[in-house]
Amino acid sequence: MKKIILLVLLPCCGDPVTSGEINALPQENPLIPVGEFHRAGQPCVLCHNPNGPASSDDFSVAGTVFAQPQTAVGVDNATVAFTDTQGTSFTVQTNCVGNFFVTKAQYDPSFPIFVRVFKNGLSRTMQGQVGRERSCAQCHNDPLSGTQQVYSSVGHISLYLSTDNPPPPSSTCPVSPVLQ
Amino acid sequence: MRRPLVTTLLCVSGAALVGAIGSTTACTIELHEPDGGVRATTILSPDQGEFTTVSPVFERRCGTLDCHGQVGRPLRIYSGLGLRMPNDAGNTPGSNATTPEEITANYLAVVGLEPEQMTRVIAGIDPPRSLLILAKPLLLESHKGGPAIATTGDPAETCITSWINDGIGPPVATGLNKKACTDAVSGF
Repeated sequence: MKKIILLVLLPCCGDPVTSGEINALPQENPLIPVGEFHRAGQPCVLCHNPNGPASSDDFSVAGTVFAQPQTAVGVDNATVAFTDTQGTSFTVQTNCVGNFFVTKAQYDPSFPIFVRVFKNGLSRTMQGQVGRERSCAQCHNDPLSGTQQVYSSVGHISLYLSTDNPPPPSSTCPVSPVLQ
Repeated sequence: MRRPLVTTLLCVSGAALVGAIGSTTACTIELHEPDGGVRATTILSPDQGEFTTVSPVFERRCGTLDCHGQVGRPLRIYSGLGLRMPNDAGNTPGSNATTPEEITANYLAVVGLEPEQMTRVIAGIDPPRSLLILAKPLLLESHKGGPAIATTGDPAETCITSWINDGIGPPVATGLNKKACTDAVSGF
């Protein structure tokens, strides 16, 4: 007599790829509450998407602007300007830790998009286009020295050159604008 | 089921391919099986030398770090602004121009994506748009990266198609359209 075994497939716990990427991120800084200042320099849209743990804030694009390549000090009040493939533009300001984020309700660009960052007359234009990635930090991360990551990472976004003397970070920021 | 492993993709430029018309490169894919048996498939592909002019189109349209400029993605594309081959020259994303070795790797990625279909196209059996390298960016097939090439009048398709047609030979070959290849990366 044949036995019939029924397998009941339960809804899974979410996308294992995304979960793995989120789990691999540095932990929350206990000195910075969850909110607009948290997780500077990390890939925001991993969580801030319709299927992520922060789905209530669905970002179309988000990232962090730091001062210089060799330091992780957030730049406040920098303008990040986007132009998408349809010619539609949108600008957003960085907060005092350098974070910026755009919700889909504000601007849902048609990729690829072109990006420029500027402040006080200083402007930096991204050399290539963003093909489809909504988290700037997926590519703009700091590679571990001596690893293969140096061949695929462009480093964090920085407004000033390493030889520049940037203005001091915000003194009124409720959290430290220096990444720790 | 055992899967043969593709271990080498050997290419010989134009003149060495007996009977070929136009600028064509013959590539031999050697399939090494775990039991030591070796099988080989000869494929036809467009000219490798001309690809130096075509590579920037793939680099700028397809090879950003968030798309095909990733190690784990099919059709891996190296470029000066994107993913770099491991090197001792200090080349990192954005630091130096695409190297000849990277262009060669891009060529192998492009012609090796669908070697049998590429052979059918170069043999004149199927049209260039049947290749994924065109069908996907044109959205003739599903493409997560969206429309990387416009369906009408995009110099990127003109460039790539002229390169493929040059490999097919007369009557479709009209020479590599270098201007289209240049125009295709303008603004990107």
